[in-house]
Amino acid sequence: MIAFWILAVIMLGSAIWCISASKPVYSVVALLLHFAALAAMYLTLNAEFLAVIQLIVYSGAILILFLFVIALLSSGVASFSVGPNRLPRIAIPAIVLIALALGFFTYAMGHAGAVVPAAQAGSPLGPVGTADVFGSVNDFGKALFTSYLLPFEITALLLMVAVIGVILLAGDHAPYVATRKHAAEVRREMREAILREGRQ
Amino acid sequence: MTINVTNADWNAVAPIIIVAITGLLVLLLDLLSPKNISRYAAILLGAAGMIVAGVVASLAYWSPAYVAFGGAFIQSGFGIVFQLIILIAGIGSLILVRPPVQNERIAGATALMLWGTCGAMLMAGAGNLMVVFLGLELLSLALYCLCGLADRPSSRESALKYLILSSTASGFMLYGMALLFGASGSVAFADLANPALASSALLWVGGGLFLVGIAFKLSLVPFHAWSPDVYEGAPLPVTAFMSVATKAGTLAVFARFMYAALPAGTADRLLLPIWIVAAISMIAGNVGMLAQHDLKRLIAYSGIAQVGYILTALAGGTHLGLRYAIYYLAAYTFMNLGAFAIATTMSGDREEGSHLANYRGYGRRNPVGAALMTFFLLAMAGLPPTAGFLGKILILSSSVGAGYAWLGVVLIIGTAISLYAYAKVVRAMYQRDEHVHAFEGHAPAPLAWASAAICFVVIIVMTFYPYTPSNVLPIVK
Repeated sequence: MIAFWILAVIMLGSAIWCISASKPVYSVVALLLHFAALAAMYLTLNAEFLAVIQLIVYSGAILILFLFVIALLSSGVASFSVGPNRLPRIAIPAIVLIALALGFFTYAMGHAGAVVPAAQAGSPLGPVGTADVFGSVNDFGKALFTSYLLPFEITALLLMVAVIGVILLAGDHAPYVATRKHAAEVRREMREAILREGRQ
Repeated sequence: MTINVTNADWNAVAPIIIVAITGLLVLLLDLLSPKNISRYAAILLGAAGMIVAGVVASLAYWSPAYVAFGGAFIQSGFGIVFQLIILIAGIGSLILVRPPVQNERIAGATALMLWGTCGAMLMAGAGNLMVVFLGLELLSLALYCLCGLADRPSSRESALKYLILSSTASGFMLYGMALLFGASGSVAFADLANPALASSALLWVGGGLFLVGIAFKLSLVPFHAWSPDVYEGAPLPVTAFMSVATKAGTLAVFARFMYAALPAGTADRLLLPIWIVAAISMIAGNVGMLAQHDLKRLIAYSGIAQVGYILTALAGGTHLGLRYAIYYLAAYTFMNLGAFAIATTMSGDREEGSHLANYRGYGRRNPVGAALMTFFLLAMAGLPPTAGFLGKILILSSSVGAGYAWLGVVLIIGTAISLYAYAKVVRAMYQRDEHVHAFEGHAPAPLAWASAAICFVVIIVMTFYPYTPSNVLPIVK
């Protein structure tokens, strides 16, 4: 429980830092802290596989991707050009809303009924890391390819849609043709240049 | 907790697989053909794939319902009817694709539209919250890209607005789903109907957040501000698709949640905000329509109100109400697709024919087109010889029967307001105006004309042979 509170404070703090940082790089560092704390929280929940995935995929791959983008965009290291500060105008309604929501959630969680343990019935908590135990790689893989096969397959389609969509939007008007023509042109120019060199 | 995946499981999602593979085929053909795939080839292949999927889906309509993939997907008459409506929306909007969507992008646009259809179809048959969310994201991701397809700033604005607002709404929905999972310990709709959960506060908070997400996707009134802007910027066929498929998929999820996934006794109180919001939508949507100068914005506001009408049919949770809601949804699909088809026939290479100024004097330039447009608009308004009228009568009868007569009253008031807005367009088409900015000289659009004619015939047939599907109670087990 103590670990939960420490991690929760770290996560909330880093999340606030992430959205309020003046430079994008700081935001990424704050996000890294957030992801690390999240991974630690997975560990406290005995989901060590998720924790490792969280570290590898999010902290390892996605954050590096963010850093690449920031490095490639020259404005990445500069401060955000924020507009006029709108916070004072919305401060009071925002505080009221947040207080209401927090109060409501606290009340609701306090009065939450008993959780019906349907899913966990067949998965006893045993020594961490062994097979057939909640959160283990074995258990995870089995669930992924049997009970959650359909969602898993939909995710594949989802990723493909994202890739095709990005190509469609980011490519110029004629993505394939123009590129092909361009490459051919470049090759021809190079050949001609080499021929010229040889003649001289 | 493991299951064996059998052939029956794959049969349940066969229509979705067919549509998804058609999308891949279109892209492959585009890659293999020496030049780009032609517009007609892409569109007709896509439409053919969806028609095959529709036939495969409807073959299973009368066979007994069963649960596939261990509860992730439910094969039942309810899901199939919604899937068919979504497929019709997909076909009806796919054949409207033409410039300003460039020919180089046609294969990608067709594939994305097919995959968006897959997402909506998954929502229609989803048996657990995970598939609902993935289907919704599949649909939304495809739509974000489709919205930005036209080469103009408003289209990019539309895509970005939709991306940001819709992601926020998805966040709400996901948070709600997490709390529902916390309450029941399972993502399946079937386990939510557990009577032990009726007193669980987690169910109430989670259900509330879930409904916020649903209300956003249906563009009900406090969450509607995105839809006119997004509809206006998106290319015409995409707007047509968005106005029907998204709503059909989300309504299927809502109906399944409302009819089958709520513990007994909670429905009245948990869903009350939705009915109030529906009532506000019926008024605000129709009032908002009065000030519009673009057909797409007009239909966006009209859609806000029409969803209110459909929810009125669902209020009370009767079997009859669900059947009438499906009838009205189908009628709405055809009216919308018809109106968009006529707008497409007026589109030029650079400009889309959705601005209402283009319709001035249209009655003299093209009497047939103007007559069809008038018919579709009057159907939306719900005037007699159309399915819109019959649908509203049916909705009124079910809402009164289910004890929600106040929603019926709001429906009548909303309809009265909307008449003025629709009549404004009709008047513009037939008024004598010598100083018309003639917007002419467009490429012929045979597919759009065919679509408009089919929509007209279907609406007439639906009016005189009002078939409401009987095999549609949503089941979760």
